[in-house]
Amino acid sequence: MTRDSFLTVLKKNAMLIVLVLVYLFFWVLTQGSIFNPSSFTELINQNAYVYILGAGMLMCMLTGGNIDLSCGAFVCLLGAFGGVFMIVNGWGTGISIALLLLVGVVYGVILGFLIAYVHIPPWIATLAGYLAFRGLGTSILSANSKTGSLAPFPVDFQNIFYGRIFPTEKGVFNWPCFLFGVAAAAAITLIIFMNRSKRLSKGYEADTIVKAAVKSGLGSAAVILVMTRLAMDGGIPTTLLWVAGIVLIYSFITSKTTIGRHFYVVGGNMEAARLSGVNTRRIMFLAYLNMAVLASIATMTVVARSQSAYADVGKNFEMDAISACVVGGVSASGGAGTVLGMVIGATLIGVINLGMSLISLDANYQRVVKGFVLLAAVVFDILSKQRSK
Amino acid sequence: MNNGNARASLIGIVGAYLLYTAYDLFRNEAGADTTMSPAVRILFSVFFVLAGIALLVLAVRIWRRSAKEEKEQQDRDDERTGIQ
Amino acid sequence: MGKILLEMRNITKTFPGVKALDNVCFQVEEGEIHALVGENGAGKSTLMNVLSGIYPHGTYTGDIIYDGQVCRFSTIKDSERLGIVIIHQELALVPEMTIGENMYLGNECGHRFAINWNQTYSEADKYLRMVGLEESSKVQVKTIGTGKQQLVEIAKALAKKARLLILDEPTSSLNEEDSRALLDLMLSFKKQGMTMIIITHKLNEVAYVADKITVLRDGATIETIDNHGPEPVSEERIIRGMVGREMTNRFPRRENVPIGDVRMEVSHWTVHHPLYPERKVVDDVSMYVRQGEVVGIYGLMGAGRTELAMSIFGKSYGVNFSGELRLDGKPVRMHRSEADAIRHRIAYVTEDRKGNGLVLSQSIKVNTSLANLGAISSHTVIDGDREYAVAEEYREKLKIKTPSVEQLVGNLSGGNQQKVLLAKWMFAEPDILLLDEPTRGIDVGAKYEIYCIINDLAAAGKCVVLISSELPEVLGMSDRIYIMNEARIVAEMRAEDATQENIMTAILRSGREAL
Repeated sequence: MTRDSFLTVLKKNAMLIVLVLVYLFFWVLTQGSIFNPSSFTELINQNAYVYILGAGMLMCMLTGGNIDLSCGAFVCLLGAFGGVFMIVNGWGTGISIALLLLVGVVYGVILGFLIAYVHIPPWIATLAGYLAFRGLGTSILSANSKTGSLAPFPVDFQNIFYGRIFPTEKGVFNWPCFLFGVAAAAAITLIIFMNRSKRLSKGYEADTIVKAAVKSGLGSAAVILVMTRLAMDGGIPTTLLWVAGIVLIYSFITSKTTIGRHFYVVGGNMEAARLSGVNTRRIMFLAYLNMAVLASIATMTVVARSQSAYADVGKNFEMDAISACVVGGVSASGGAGTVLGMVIGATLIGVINLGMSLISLDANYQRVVKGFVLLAAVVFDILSKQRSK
Repeated sequence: MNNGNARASLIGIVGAYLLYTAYDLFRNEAGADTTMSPAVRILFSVFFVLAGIALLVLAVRIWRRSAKEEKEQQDRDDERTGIQ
Repeated sequence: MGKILLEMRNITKTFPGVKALDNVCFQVEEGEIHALVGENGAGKSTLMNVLSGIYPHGTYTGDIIYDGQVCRFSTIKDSERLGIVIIHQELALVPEMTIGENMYLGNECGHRFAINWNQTYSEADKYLRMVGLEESSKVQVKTIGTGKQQLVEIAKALAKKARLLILDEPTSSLNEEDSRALLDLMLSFKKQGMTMIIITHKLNEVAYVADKITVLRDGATIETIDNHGPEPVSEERIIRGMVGREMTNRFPRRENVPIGDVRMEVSHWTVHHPLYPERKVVDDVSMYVRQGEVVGIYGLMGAGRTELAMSIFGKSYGVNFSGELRLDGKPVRMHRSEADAIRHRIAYVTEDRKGNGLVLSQSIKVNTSLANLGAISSHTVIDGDREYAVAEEYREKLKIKTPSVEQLVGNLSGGNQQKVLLAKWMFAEPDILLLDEPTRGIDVGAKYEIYCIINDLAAAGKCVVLISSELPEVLGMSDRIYIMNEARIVAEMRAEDATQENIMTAILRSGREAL
């Protein structure tokens, strides 16, 4: 293993270790309430947007450290649209969702075009959205409502994005949820061992039986643990399905598809990618189109959870997504980073946020902690770049 | 050694965010019922101002360096194609 | 036999795990130019670092005897005080400061707190004239070209009252004109009694200036060759010492490969500069390549060879194209797309492998498959095992020295990196390969391996265009040679008819200015 890959592996596992340690730290601090079933639900629901936006931000950062500053404000704007569609105009849920996605696509196309083909630096192009969208959203809201917010969203909309699958009463053991966890654990174990035997049969190196057993054991245990806790809180949250689906899809894309590979090489050396036949401008375009679409999905989960569209929605979202990526080992110069890393980063930040709110930590202290975490992650990234020089 | 610009902007954004954090702390955004003493608040605020500025300076340096490298590459290309 | 100014006796230096210098013995006479040659990693720079005090006394065993005295340097300043000054490959100048400030950095005239700038600048100007620069020492370094910056470095060394000047790859970033000027400068210094050691891998330079040549291999002194004979030492002789085997042919012999039909032809190809559209970087070029043929394109810097190749390759360089491109006799409208060129089975192997050829942060495996991901994937899903197998196949075929194809390309040596670059393009299965300086900056052993690869490509029926600024290479490898100068093709000759003289004559005759 070369030095760089060792550092990356260490970093990825280090984050996992840090995650576990921080979780235990908060366990003590919250006297166990972070282990309550409701906390697990809260963690997933509260942080869904970080995972979703994080996936999009990851793709942007892979192309070379590019980011999207507008996603938070866009969520606000799109939430306002959603409110107008569903509450003010009373259109059907299905149509409204389709329209919202369409708006996301339109924004993505425009943004992607400006960045990839007109060559406007991403931070400037998305800064425009950051500055303009919130004001726009707020105006739409105040034009349509006396209180400046629109509520409530239709029930079926909320069920799609903030409900539960096979719900049960809280405190009653939810079997579908538990079985889902068992199935997932079995799938993980199966995949790990099948990969291993496939590699061995072709004569390549593979993990030892012990290592494979440890990996699948830990993974399965974690999954079953989470699902068991959720089972006591009423069942599988729909947001979990959305998040898991997106995470799995993007995991697959980044690690196994040619398009995913293109993203990595564009970030690694754009000129070399171009001369090798990669359509670099199309990749940049897709990165931002993708981000806008994911932002639309994130909007819907957020708005369903808060059951309303209001002016402050989406505040700080872009920084949360960026933090999740940087903490998760996505390189600021592009060409490196994984979905798994982002997930660990997002979960770490989610646990910290949840822990802080469970102990009712003063808002000022929460800001300080958030700042520190981001600072530490950036410094770490800068230092590891120095060391590899 | 490409992407200096993007990297610079990311570090710059974080720097700006830290300054924003400092500003919020300073203004005591949290409200009157905060448990943080004013002294501690100001202290953290100053810390984040310094950290934010440091990151912004670093971002500018990285940006400058990549602009210079680009210019050097351009000069080298010009030399190669006969424009001195 | 003149007086020995420097003797390095039984110098041994080890780093963890590797013995960089093994009982090296090295002697330099006063007033001579002594060349230190060897492959990459032979120990030349290490030896000079020991001499100049960068590796201080105590980190090596053996003796340095200078001017009859045993020396124990602990810092560079110690060696500089005795007049031993080393000029490194990377320029150590601060671009924002003036020439004068750079030359006297840490060495200013006047007192500690009151630098006498007038004196500093006039002293600096004096040394600048000695190296042939007319600039004032008050101009900023960043305003002058690399060639002149190198001369400033030498002036800086003179200002330190150098008696023994060590130059480490001084011409690596210079064009031919500036290189020649620097070598002539060295010869003029020699007439004034300066002793010099030059480390270089450019053997023609060695033959031109050196009085003696010491060959290092694997950290040991192999031999010292005298260049005082009636004829300058031949490069073959030097290579034999460096590589340790008889290289009867520096260029592998090619079995009679049947040359087939014309596969690619450009007619009246004209391309303009992307930033200065009135300027033509390729001016009415017409050339062709046949199956199984190696066509060399030789020219001086700025001739337009890279621009020609890149403009053919999917119009990846330039604007305002005109002229016709024919593949297998049929005119082809090439779009501005590298992918399109690859689909037409054209490959361009860049001269700047680290800058725009390879993705250094990725593995050999990823780099190898990059131009032809379609062949190792089905419906955009990459088959990791097939990718690995392909990379392994090319690793063996091209003899890439690496423990694994998962190794990051950035960690490989220059020669191996170049092989990965070639592997990538070979995997794209082109019919026409445009090779731009494929052996630049690579040591002699690896060069030979790449020449063999080129011959294999031709034997397999590919068309190879070999762009090179090394005349022996072009003469030794090509079937036909085009000579380019100032964006135009000025001559075409068959390899049998080509000699160094008539190639240079063709260039001189075409030059608009008297050279």
